[in-house]
Amino acid sequence: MRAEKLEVFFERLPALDAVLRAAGMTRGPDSWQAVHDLMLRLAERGRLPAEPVSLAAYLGPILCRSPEEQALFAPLFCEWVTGEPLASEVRITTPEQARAARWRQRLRALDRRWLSIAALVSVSLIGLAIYVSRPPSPVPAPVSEIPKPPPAPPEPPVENTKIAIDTRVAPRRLPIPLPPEQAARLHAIAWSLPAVPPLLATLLLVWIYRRRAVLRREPPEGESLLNRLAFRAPQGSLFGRAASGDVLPGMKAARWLPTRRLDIPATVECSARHGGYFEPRYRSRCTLPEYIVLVRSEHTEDQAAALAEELVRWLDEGGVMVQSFRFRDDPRHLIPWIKAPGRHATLSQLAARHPEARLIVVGDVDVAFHPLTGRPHRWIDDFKDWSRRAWLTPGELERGFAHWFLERGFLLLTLASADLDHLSRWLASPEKRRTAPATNRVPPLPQAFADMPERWLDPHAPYGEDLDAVFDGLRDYLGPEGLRLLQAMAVYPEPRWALTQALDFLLFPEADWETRTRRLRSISRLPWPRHAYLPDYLRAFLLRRMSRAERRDVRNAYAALLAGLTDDRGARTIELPIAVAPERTFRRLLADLLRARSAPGDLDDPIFLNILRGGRLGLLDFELTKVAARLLPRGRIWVTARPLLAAALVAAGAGWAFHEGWTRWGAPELTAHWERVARDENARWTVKLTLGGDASDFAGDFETMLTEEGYTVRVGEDRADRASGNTLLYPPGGAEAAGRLARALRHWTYGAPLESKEDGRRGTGDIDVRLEATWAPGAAFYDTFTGYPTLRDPFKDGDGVGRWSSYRAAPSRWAASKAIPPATQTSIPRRRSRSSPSLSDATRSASRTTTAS
Amino acid sequence: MARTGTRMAEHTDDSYYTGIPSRRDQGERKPLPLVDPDAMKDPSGYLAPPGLVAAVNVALELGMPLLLTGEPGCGKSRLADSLAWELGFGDGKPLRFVVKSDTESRDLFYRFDTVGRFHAAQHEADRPDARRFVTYNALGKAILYAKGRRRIRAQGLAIMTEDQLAQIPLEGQRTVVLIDEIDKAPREIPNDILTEIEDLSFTVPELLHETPICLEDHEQGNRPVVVITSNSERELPEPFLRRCIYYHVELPPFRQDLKGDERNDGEVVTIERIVEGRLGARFSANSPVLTDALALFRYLRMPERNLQRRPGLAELLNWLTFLASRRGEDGIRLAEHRDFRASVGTTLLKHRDDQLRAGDFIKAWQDATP
Repeated sequence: MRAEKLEVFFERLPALDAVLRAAGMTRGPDSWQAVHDLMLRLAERGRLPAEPVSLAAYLGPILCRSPEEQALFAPLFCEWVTGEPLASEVRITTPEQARAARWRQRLRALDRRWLSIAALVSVSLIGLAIYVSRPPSPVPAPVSEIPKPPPAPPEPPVENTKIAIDTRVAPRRLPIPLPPEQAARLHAIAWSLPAVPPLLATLLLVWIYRRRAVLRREPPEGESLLNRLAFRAPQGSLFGRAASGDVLPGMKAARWLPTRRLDIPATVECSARHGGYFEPRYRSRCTLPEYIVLVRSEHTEDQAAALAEELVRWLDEGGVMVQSFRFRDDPRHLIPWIKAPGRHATLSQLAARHPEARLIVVGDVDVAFHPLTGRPHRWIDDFKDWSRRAWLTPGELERGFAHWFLERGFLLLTLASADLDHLSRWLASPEKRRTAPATNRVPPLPQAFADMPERWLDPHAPYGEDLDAVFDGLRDYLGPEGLRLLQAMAVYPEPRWALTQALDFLLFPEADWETRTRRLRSISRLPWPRHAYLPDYLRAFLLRRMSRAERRDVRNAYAALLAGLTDDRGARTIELPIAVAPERTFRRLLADLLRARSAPGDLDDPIFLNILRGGRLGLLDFELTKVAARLLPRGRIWVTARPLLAAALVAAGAGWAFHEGWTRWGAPELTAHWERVARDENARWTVKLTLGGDASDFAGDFETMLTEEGYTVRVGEDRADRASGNTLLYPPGGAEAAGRLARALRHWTYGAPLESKEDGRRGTGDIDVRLEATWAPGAAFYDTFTGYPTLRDPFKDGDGVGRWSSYRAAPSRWAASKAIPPATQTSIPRRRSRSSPSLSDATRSASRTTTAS
Repeated sequence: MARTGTRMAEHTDDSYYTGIPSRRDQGERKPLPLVDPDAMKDPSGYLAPPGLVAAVNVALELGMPLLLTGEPGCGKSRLADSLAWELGFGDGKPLRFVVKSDTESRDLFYRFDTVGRFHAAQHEADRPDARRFVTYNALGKAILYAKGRRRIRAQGLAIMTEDQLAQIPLEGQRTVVLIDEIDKAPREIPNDILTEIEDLSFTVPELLHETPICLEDHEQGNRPVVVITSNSERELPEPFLRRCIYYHVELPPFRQDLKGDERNDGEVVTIERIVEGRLGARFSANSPVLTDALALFRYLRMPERNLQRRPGLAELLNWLTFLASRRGEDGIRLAEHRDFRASVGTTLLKHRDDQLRAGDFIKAWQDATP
């Protein structure tokens, strides 16, 4: 590591602080100052290690304070150095930094697979956009519709030259535009079809997002790893709020202990008083009291023990020197629990190390007696090494027991905040024969649980027990609120003290602390919280007994808890193991089908987070609001990103496919259908065609085109008395057919005026058409440039050139059928040119026409 | 292990105790092997793991006390010897102060024999020199060593007799101070001690010397290196931990527990290397006894054994020293060693429950060993 990198190193130290805090290693400014000093000194001496990872050996001794921290530090430091996801950069001080860190963390959390899918979708969308907005492919100029100027005569001399002007224009050969209503219908379909998939996708997303996530109980799988999620604990110190304000000062009050040191002034004075004979006087030493708390525990997650340790934590945080140990049935074998778990100790060792300590034993009084003989255990006398001792019981306080314990030097009290005052006074100055306070605020445990609690820990209900009666007994013992708390606990497969406490605070936020302590104490005495096991039959039974409102309250409590998901891990957070459901690949599904399912009720019963695949809600499954589920592992991906990406992908693909399908097959087929229908209609009509003027040269063309449109054509003779201009006479009731024919004629004659009127003299089925003009003055003959609206592209406005040209350019069956036979073409003067006619050509043609006239 | 009653000891070597009264007068005895207590403390044989080396250097750089924790016998206190020897501080030896349950912070600097002074005042004709009754302890000595005799005289610090002063080096010298087993002290003592270490200043009111004895600015270069050890019997206060450089000394790994690359690395500190460094000369090369002994020690330390008290490195070295001291045992396996079983129960297993199970452990180990 080079010295120039020190600045970067120092800049990133807050992130290391965050990582260590997340691991429960909170260090003060003096430690970080020492880190700064050390790094600068090493740099000054040129002794910085080559690899930053090697700095762990140097910084660990400054930042660690226990063997456990020392073991944890090296991997944390490596994680920080190598830039792997830093656990909690979100706790950088300023909100802006925190927000930026959160976004960075979210980006890092995105799986590469999803990133690649997102990239693929983006590329597809970009490609689609490019395809949509590409310029139209050049359309070959229709050769037939461009009016051909007359063949160029040899250039005559300028003066006295007569120019022959040919004003005959061949009929337009482009397909006849659809009627406005049909064109509008095509337009509407062309717009609406690509919009269908996005609409469906949106509806699907709404449906998905409106669904609740399900926390589903699934059989344990060997390869599933539990995620330990940390949530901000909603509660405060249980005893801290409930206990009297005098308790902590009373327990911390210093005391004087004799020493073997001479008190020199007192010794001199005393010796002088005794005529110079040496009279030693010893000093006393002022010292803070030390407390040893021994907690009886049935299980590592024993909630009765955990409740007692809440007291220990409160004392410790209050500055009382306290050490906590757990024991099972025999307090002579102890395990340090809260601060240095793992290294066991014996009661005699403890007595040797802490002879002046004050002793508090927490446990049911029955542990002091043999369960079969009823005789007191002999180890009760081993506590005599401590002069000040008390026994706290979570159960009921019986006067007989109180006296029995008092005879053995223990003051028997209940584990209640109200009794802590008595405890403090007793340990400060134990008075012999002092009677225990007559407090018995704990209801007795129901007989069914007190007699043989092990029966209730089986996976199946005890034989012969009426669960309804048990339920009623629980209600009497716990009260309605305690029962609801137990039901809320049953949602999670494994009773956990931190969860129990949090649920109590979330379900009953307004409860007073004494009531809360009493409720938790009562519930922690039940066999299930003591052994951290709730059999499934009981969970199901308890959940079935919940009303809709109770279920809603419980769900809200869980949602509030899960909303407090945090990266921090420490005293103010609670941790719950939740397994993320493995991805259901086809192979896995097949394996699940082939493999025998685990028997229900296994102890290893993780909750699998099973979002988006809820299906039917099982009784032991639990709904979560989507907001809460988003905060869980994979929540962001599974709940939002994946459906969104999938829907966008499907919608884009389906929209493109719909559009292409419509463009290539749908619209032409529909158009052809309409043409067939129109042709069938036309077949019922006979058109008597009379041609005059310019049109007389195109009799064959018009006859052919009318025939192809399905009409029966009879070409009549031109009569001079007929009115000039294009006219169409139709019989009564033939307006529709006449309108269709008039639209065709106007199209063929480049919009030449056509007078269409009803004539009562016409026979049924006859339409009389007289054509004289094949073009109108001012008509645009260059349809390619003018964008003659054969069919407008719905995605393009104005020029009509766009994606619809794909089938317009390709000569359809309909268009091809309108090709004029070559024989006819030869008779039509035209200018065949593949090159686009220039404006000068048109101008020249117009000038020639003017000259001729 | 089944209890089969008491049996006579089977020692036949005349130099050892047999417990058989009839052997009391059987001629001339061979001399007992000499025990050199310093041999096992020779700092030249101390091997520190890299983490500990880094921690020591951090403490040296920052001038902060180094707190070492670890199970008894893992070499915490020996580090101070090694440090003083390698750096040449204090003539190569640390100044040691062992904490007791009634230790006061002032004891770090000096102890005053009040009773002796009282007695002398009553029985000696002349007024006794009060300085005779002052005994300077580790930290007090470290301050005086840092000053040196010349500067003590120059500063007019009349706190030592000439005899005491003669023991102080002429020029200032840096020392290593070992404060051993601080967890024996009452809870508030560590904080007091740390304050004294940081201040490095004390007075001796018994000598009516009110001027603080402390290091001047130009003497700070001789500031002592303080090593504090704890067996973690008692929890140390947080402020104390905060002001120390901390390192937990683990027992080094066995060679066979190392990964492939590390196994061939001659620099990695292992139990075998430590044993070779300490006792290599006492065992022949590839001694079966040594190999078997290390294997049994490793077996006993496994968590599966559930020993009430796991043997430490110091106990292993003591055991091996004992095994090596028995003559005529070369080339045999450990199981054939005549003192094998008895020595395991007395040197390695020191808890009654463990001793009762010693036979089972040995049998299981022999079954598991090819």
